[in-house]
Amino acid sequence: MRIKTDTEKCIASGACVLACPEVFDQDDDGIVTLIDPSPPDALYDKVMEAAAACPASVIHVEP
Amino acid sequence: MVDAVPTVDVDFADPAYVRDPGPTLRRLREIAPIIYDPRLGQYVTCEYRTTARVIGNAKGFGNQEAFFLEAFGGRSVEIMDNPRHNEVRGIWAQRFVRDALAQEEARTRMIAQSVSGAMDPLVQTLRAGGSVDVVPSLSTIPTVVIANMFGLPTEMHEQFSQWSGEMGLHTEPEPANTERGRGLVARAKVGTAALTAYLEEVIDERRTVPGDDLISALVHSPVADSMSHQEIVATCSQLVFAGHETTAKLIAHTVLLLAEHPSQRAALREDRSLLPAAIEEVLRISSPVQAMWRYARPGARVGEIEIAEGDKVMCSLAGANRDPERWSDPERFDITREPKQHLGFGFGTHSCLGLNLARLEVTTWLNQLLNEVPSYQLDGEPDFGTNWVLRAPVRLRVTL
Repeated sequence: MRIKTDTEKCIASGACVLACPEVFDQDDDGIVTLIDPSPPDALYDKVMEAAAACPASVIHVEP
Repeated sequence: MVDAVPTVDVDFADPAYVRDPGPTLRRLREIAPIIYDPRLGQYVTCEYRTTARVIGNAKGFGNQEAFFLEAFGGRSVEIMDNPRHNEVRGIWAQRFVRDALAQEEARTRMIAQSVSGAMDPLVQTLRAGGSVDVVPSLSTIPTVVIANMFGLPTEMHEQFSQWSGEMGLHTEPEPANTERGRGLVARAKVGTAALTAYLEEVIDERRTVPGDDLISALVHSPVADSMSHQEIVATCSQLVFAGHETTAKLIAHTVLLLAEHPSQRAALREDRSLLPAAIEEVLRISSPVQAMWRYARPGARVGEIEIAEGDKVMCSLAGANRDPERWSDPERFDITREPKQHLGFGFGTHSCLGLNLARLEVTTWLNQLLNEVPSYQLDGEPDFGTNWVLRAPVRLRVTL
């Protein structure tokens, strides 16, 4: 999978980091950063949970 | 170090400011990213970057415990710090994600009914040729939705809404040393006491007879074992407060802005896919939660400026949301803007838990309005009242 983030829309809620800290982190301003934009398939469910939890629809996951 | 920071003198309570805060906020924003206001004894930030950095910086800045204890009867989730905050917020977080709300048919139907209940009498009056103040009926929509999510019996909904409205008077910024101010505080205390007493009864019931509602989820969560009784009650009453006036006021702004911009209203009527962006633009330009406060923790800084521990910072969400560095022609209401996150729902770990519920309620309202009353106009000027903190028309008359 490949992950893209719309950082312009991020409100730093941290929901993605809670759901999947292996893939998502926050910069000094709290804006989402990707630890790995192409994580292993085993993390698919957690990545999708992060995308669903995001209050600002920032995370897009391509297979 | 107040010396290094420019000072301003602003009377935020001036009715002229409440009616139109934009020009004042623009003036303040142009002075410096952070300024000092001796009248209210606080720093003020009015531009996007600095405001987001203060609100989002939970290590450097916290909330004021005293307000939460008084308003909600205890330490609610918003006064907690991470990691505990995330644990407690996590109890309800999954229930408020976008899909959980929008895909549950019973919920969307309940919201639609709550909206119709408020809108049908308005529509009837309008079609009969009358003029009607939209504001009074809006309050019931979000409180009925919360009452449903709490699993409260229908016969309690009206009383629940009334108590919630009184609890909300805690945000009226009237100084406590005026008669009106004292009256508001007294009513707010009565409302909070009654609401929290009722919630305590419900919490007790749900301990023994759990349901599918939010209160059952809270009391039966393993995290609740580490919460005091006060914290459980306060977290419930904060949810009521957080989702009530805010949502009602956002709907009022939606009605007003679309009255003032009929061509954009027409475009929305023809193409409902524009609704989500339109609602975000209403939120950006109206910012019902006009400001939030943060209190400096030891070592707090804003850029190069050191803020003394305990000093208060007023974070103007309204000012930040019209920052020309972020939005071109920011004073213009334009539903076709490219979506860019604003601070209308806050920022950081304490950002609004209910934002998808709010969006769903406003979307439901707006769809029904566009269907039932495609064309309407203002009947007289809206009255913005005195609340410059949680701001919206307190009277908004419309006619066909």
